[in-house]
Amino acid sequence: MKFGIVFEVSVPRPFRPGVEKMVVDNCIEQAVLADQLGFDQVWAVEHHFLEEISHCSAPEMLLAAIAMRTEQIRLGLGIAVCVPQFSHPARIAERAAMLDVLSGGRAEIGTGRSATWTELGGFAADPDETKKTWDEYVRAIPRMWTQPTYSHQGRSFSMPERAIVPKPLQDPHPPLWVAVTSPGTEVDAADRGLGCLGLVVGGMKRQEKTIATYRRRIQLCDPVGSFVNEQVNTVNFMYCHEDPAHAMKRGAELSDHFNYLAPQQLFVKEIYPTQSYATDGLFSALRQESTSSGDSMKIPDGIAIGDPESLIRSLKQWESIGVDRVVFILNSVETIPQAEVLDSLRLFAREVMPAFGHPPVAGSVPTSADEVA
Amino acid sequence: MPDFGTLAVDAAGAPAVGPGGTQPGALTPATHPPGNCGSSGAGQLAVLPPALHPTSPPIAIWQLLQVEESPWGPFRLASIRVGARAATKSRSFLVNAFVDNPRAGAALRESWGFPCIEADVRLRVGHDRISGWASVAGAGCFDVELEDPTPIASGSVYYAPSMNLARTPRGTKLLQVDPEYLVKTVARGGAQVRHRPGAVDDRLAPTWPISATFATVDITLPAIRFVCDPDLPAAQGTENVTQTDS
Repeated sequence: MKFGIVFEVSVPRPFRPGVEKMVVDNCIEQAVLADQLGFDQVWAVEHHFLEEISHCSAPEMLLAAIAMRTEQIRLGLGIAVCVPQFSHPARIAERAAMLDVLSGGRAEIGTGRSATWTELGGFAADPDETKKTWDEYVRAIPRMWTQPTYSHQGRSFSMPERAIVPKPLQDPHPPLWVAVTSPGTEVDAADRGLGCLGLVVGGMKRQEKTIATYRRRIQLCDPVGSFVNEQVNTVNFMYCHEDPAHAMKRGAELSDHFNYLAPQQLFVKEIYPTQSYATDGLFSALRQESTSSGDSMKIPDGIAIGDPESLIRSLKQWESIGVDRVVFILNSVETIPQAEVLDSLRLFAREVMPAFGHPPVAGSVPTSADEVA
Repeated sequence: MPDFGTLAVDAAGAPAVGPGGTQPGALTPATHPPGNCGSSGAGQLAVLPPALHPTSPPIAIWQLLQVEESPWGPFRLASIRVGARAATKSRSFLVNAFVDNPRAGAALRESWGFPCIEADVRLRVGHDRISGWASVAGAGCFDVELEDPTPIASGSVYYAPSMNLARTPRGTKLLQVDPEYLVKTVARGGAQVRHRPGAVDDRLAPTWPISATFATVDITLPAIRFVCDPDLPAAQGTENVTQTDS
């Protein structure tokens, strides 16, 4: 099993001058340490207009900055929103290829279509069309990377023959993924030979079924790219501390803040009824809870919050149902002090990662004591 | 932490809800055309009580309900709601309600806290467009229109529970009204919403029509289960009243 981290770039109110820079600087510091500790990947999301929960509207720029400061860690761009009002597919291909060149061939590209009216409405996108535009994009982008020139007459975009440059450094091209939050999207991923980027935090039982469907179906795929990326990557929270009580306290603060902010957005189904956004995981959870009184939130099974032993147990469960990678949300609106986030990463690398076949951390990694000194 | 509403809660104008709780009321069959619109963020904050967060982005829902059968006879209800969150839960805050049947208006006011005022409410259903409007004493308040209705799956539509400000034996509260909807048909189309300045809260002036739907539904208005202190965040100020009121 491989491990990574994911940045939402969530920014606490009030939005004082410099607060976004502080959050971005902290993300970069976390990514640099994760690289030194042997984490495999760092992802940066693409979100727009989502105050507090995600100020990460230009993830390729954040990842480029990380690329310049790291050596091994892979860089996950995404999900890149495959909707014309957000980005032309050639722009996605160009930005991803440049990231791949800058990083010496470490880019990975996630694709998706957004789930909020906050974002889709902000760009005046048509929610009925986003599945179709995503499909057209994921078939186009690998060809833009691998063909000397590209032209297209299509539904969501058309373009005359042009050389789309630069080309990615990786041969034949970076791995492609798709965000899987709605039931059935795992089939879309499998049919196209795409990696399954499971964005539903927790929900092991549901994920197990999704993964089994994905594994079965991908055997018969017609890949959109030059190779099949059969991998399952899930998103999880992570806070690791020797004292289980402290870990639970801090971890609950992290997940509670995230879970409080996420539903403040306006979901498509609330405002623009369409079968293209039938009940999905996040929204159905919101709807289910919306008729109850508001019980205090609990940390569900499978969440990587606790001492090293409990994290190993949780992650072994994910491994047993077929998860190849887990990427961790480390903080939300800076709830956890940066020094504690870094210590949590170090402890995870030292105590948890060896249980999954990762080599022990080299001795040269700076400790919190070094930072104080 | 997201913004909270900034409304200075004034109980004087809120409906008085009697003691003893409420009994469910079945409204069947009903037609239900809401028009969804963006509205200004500052306006949305100003009309929401401090218990609630605004949605991001702010929205107002301009809604008409035509009920063929109810305990109070047929009636039409026009309402204006603001999209909100009670902590993490999807809600709509009821700002205005216009009803054309005094018995229904009294029942909705006294049992569920709808701030009903008597009005002329009309609905015109065509194949090319569906129009509705509300007027008081001959002066139009607002009108909504759905253009080019296209059938969509009945499971696609969602109605958030309503939060209604009312004077209760427990004090001034937000009543959570979460009707049960049995949706039979739904059509969606383009939305047009117009309001007469001064007739409804100008802070909710529609700025960006989003969608309109026309649904045929059976609605059951439930007994109130939860109430909320309008001046406290909903996560702190919500009470379950089903155990103590009868």
